[in-house]
Amino acid sequence: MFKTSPFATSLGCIQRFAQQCVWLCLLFSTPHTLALSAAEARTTFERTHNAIYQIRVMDTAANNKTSTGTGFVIRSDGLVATNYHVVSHAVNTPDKYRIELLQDDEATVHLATVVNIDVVNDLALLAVDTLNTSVLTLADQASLQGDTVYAIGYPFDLGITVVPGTYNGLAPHSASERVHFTGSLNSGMSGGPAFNTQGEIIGINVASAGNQVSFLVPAARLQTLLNDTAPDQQRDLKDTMRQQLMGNSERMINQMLAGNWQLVPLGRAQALDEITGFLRCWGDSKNQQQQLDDMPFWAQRSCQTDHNIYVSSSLITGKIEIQFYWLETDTLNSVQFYEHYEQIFSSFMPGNGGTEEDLGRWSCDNAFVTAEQETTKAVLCARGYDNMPGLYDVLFLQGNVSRDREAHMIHFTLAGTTQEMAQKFTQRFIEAGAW
Amino acid sequence: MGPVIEITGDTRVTRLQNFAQSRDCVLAIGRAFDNDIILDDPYVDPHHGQLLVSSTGGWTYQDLGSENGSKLGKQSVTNTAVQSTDVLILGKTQLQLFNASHVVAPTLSLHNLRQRLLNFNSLAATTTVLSVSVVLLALNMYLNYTGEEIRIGGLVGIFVGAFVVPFVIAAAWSLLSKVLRGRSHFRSVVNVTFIALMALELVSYPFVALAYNLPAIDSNYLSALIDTGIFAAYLYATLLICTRLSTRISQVIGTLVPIALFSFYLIIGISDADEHTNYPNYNGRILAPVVLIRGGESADDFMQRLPSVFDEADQRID
Repeated sequence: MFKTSPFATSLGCIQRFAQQCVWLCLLFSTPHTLALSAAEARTTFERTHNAIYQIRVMDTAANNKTSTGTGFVIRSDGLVATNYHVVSHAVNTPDKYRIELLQDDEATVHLATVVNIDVVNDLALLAVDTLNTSVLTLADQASLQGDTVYAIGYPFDLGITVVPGTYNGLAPHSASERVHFTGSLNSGMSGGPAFNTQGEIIGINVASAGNQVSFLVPAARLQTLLNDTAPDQQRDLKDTMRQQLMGNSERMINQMLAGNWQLVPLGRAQALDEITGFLRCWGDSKNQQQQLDDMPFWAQRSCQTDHNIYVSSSLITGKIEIQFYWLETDTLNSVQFYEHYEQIFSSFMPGNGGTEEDLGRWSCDNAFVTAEQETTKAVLCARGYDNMPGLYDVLFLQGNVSRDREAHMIHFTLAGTTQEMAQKFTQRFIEAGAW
Repeated sequence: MGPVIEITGDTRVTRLQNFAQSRDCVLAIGRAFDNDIILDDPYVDPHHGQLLVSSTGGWTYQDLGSENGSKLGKQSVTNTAVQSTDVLILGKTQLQLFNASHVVAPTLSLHNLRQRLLNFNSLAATTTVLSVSVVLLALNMYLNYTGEEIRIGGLVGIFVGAFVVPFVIAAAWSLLSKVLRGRSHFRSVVNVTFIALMALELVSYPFVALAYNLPAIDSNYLSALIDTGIFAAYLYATLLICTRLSTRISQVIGTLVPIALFSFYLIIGISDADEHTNYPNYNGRILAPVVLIRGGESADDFMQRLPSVFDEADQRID
């Protein structure tokens, strides 16, 4: 009865300034104004459309499609390339779904099975038995910014469509390599090929951020996956996925460890700058002009990856988030200030989520740790992945508790990492001395 | 034989005057100092009335034409015979007359908790308990204030809310007491209820500070156990006040009910522990620097404990 209602501020929710790429979202195509050669587009389409299929993931019980995408024949033994996220249902629950390939006439339905995946770059290879179509080729020469690109796919359920656009180089600061394609990709085009004017594939349609800002997986990533896929090879896709996620986390964390750990001021404390290219930082602070209360002043800096790895509709991983939060007051006393501080310190959430089927329960430890004449409280939590042993989500939080009316909290979340990399990163993060 | 008179003034202060040795006499009653029974009551005449004690031991009361008159019970009287235990009302003062042979209540035992509790009903005790509650609530609100905009309506709401609930609980117990024992004992119940709440509140402060310095004891179960103990004591006290159950049975009920509630709490806790949640339920307790007694460990010590966090995470995969 004596408790006043707490005004909890969830830090984990502050993502207002975070830019998130959206998985092929429902966008209706906007008219493009590029001056294009109609003949070139037609030639490309005529040369390639026989090798491009609509992919339908069929729920076997309902005997109907639950999602669609696009795929194309890439090897003469009947290998079809598409996005992993197009066929993720069939990878995660193969008993419940089957994959069908068909073309505009819907005359022939081909059944396909997933033979290999690259979950980090969102690619999948399907095996189809009886395809007698031409095979598309991957470009071996790099495109130049401004080059015309034709993306082909089956948007929504509208039949095969050609979308002209422009090559704009690799997206900078991307968590995994992606081509920035200026053109309208729409739902259903995922997994379709994007050609240069010679009719060679320069990338695979993967995502759109709206208003003609779209992304392709570079053709080189598909080449790597093809080289790694021997004909008639049976592989455990779950284990492949697990190893790819571990390898990717190792790559990203090593890149961070080798990055720039320069400190920049935040309040009367210090924060880390953008450690490496794929971490982009955004800042925010309490607006003092409109201050109507005596709540402590805060300023925060939050750095994170631009996109995450899609594993299933319920599990997204690979997120890396680093956050610094400065808090001070000149009106509250120490006890009141720490009451507020505790509410914030106690409500950190990981930057990623998942369901019970995918993720284990959290395990946490906490301690008072002395860091550069400051007494701090440190918390580390980890949770395992149900079907991928050795993978963890890790949340670390440290805040100083030796100043009366000011505080600094530092936090990171590493989603889908390994124990070894998490410990290395924690060690480095603590040593960075961002106080 | 004259009466023993219990005089209760307007302020509820009671005194006894003994006239058992008086025989065949007239006892003058009034505000003037020449009376035998002096009543300090502005509504009483200087010479208000008189009580005749006959030689046979009978009592007769006579009003002397006073301004406000006299009553025997609810009846206005001028001249009336009075029996033992009758109540005379003069002005705003009550006089209850007893025979010297009147049987008084048996001695209360200092060691009988029920009797102590039933008599824990003085106005002074209630005033003290309520005042301390108000101070504690104010202190709590002050310490928990984190800078939000203050609205007077909100503050009043919190205070009213904080006091209505215990009063309603006390009223419910009183009702039970009225049914089972014939008297409500409201003030005793109110006192005991507020003391229990203050105990809950006060115990938490040292416990939080202790747990902050000794994380090993910072278990939610322990604080729930302390709360349960306070609840058990409260339940035992109210059962003694409000029911005719024997001490032994009250003790049994006062033990079993809290144990059942605590078990229920444990079961909920254990079943919730298996629930999947995206929120890592870590110990995020932080108190003002002055409360922290122990120093920090080195970062290396902390790092060395991390593998066990991952081992435990492996155990927590369903």
